[in-house]
Amino acid sequence: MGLLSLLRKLRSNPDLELRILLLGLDNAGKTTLLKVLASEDITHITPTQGFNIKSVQSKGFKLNVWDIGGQRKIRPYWKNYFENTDLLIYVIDSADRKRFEETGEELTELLEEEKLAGVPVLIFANKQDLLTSAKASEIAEGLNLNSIRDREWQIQACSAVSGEGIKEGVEWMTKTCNNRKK
Amino acid sequence: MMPSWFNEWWTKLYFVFLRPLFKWVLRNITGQCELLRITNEESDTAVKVQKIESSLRHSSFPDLRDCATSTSVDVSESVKKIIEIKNIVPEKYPRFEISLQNFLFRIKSYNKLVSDAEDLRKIKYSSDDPSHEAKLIQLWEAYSEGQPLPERIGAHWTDLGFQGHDPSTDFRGMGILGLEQLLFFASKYPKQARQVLSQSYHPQFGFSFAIVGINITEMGYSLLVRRKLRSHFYSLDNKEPTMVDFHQVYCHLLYEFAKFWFAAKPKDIMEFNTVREQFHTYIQFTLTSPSACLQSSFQKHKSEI
Repeated sequence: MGLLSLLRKLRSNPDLELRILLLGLDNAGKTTLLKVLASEDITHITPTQGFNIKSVQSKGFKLNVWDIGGQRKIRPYWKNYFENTDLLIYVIDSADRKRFEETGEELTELLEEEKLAGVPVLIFANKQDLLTSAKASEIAEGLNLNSIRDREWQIQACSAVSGEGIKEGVEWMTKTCNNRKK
Repeated sequence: MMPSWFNEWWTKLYFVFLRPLFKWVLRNITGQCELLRITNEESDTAVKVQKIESSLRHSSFPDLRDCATSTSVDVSESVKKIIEIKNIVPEKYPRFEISLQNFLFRIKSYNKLVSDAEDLRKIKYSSDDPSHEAKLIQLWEAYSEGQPLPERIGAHWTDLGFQGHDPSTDFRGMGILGLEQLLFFASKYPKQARQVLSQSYHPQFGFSFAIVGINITEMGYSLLVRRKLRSHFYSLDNKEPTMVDFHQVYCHLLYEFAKFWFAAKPKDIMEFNTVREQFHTYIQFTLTSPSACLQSSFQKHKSEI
C-alpha cells in the first residue's frame, strides 16, 4: 500500500487540502522521498533543477507536496514557496557529516522566517540504511532541536530507499495537520 | 470511460479471434502472409520495421516472438526459419530474404541498445573505482579546454554546473551513462559543448550545465526504453546502430534543449521542469513522424550539407 493512500484514508476533514514544503540540502533525498510518498519508482532520479510537485487527490483529500531543489544556487528561491505552507518537511542526509553544520544553518534560517512562523516541521534523518549514518538522536542534539519552542516539531529516522520510518513520519504529519485544522 | 473488464474482454477477443481471422482473410485474398505483405508495402523503412516488429511480437510461434525481443538472435538463421514456417517461395519473392534480414537486424540492434544503455545506467558512480575517477578528470579537462583539475573536491565543479563540491553524488539514477554522455558531447563536438556550457552562464537564462545534462540523459534514456526512438533508429542508414548512435541522439537533445530554453525566455531556473516538459512533448511529436531524424546540423557529415 502506498503511503499517500494512508493519508487518503483520513476522511475526518473532507476537502482538506494541504500544502507541504519539502526542503533540505542537495543530495539529502528530497525527490526520492517525494516519489516514495507518491508510490512511484525511485530508480531513475536525477538532481532537481528547479522544483517538482506532486498532488494526490482522493475522496476530497488533496495533498500538494512541493519538492524544491537543494543546491546552493537554488536556495535563494526557497522563499518564493513559503506562503500558505501547512507543514514543512526538512530532509537531512544522516551520512553527510561534513555538511551537518551547513544543513543546521539552513534549518535555523527557515525557522526564523516570518512566513513560516508556527508552521510544524518534520525533520527526516534520512539514509539510515547507510552504515556511516548518524542516529536521529545525535542529529537532534547537534542541531539543538530541543530549543524549538514556537511550533510543533518531530525528528524521524528514516530511509527513503528502504521505506523504513516513512510511515511513522506521515502519521505524525496527518495527526498534526488534523489537530490544527479542527 | 469503458469499464476495465470490457477493455480486457475486447483485447482478448481481438488477439485471439479477430486478428487471426483478419490475417487469414487477407492471406487468402492476397496469397501472402503478413510479413510478406508488410515487406512489399510502399512505405518508409521505419514504418515497415515497426509493423514487422509488432507482427512478430504477436506471432503464435515462440521463435518468431523471440526475433522481436531478443538481443542476441541469429538473424540469418531466423530469416531461414521464417521462410520455412511461412512457406515463402524465394524465387517468387527474391527481395524478401534481404529485406527481412535488414529489418530483423534493426529490431535486434534496438533491443541491444536498450540493454546496453540499461547496463551503463545501472553502474553507480563510485569514487573507489579508478576508471570512474579517470573519466571524471577527463570530463573536467574536456570542458575546461585542457586546464588541469585543481583539486578532486572543490567549488570549481559548480562552474561546470554540478550541485556542490563533489560531482560524484550528482549522477544518481543515471549512473555512468550520465557521465559517459556528458563526456561524449565534449569529446565529439567540443565547439558545441562549450557553447552550451557558456550559454549556461547567462545572467538571466543561466542553468546548471552538468545537472541539466544528466537530466537530458534521463530524457533520452526513457525515450529509448519506452521504444519512442524507434522511428529515429529504424530510419538510420546504419542498420546496426550502437551506443555511439545513442550518444549522438543525446548531443542533439542537449544542444536543442539549450536553444529551446533560451527561446522560451524563462523567468528563472524554477521554470526548468515546465520548459523541459514542453521540449519533451515537442521531441515526442517529432518522433511520431515515420522518418524522424534527431540530428542537429553540426552532426551531419560535411558531404551532406
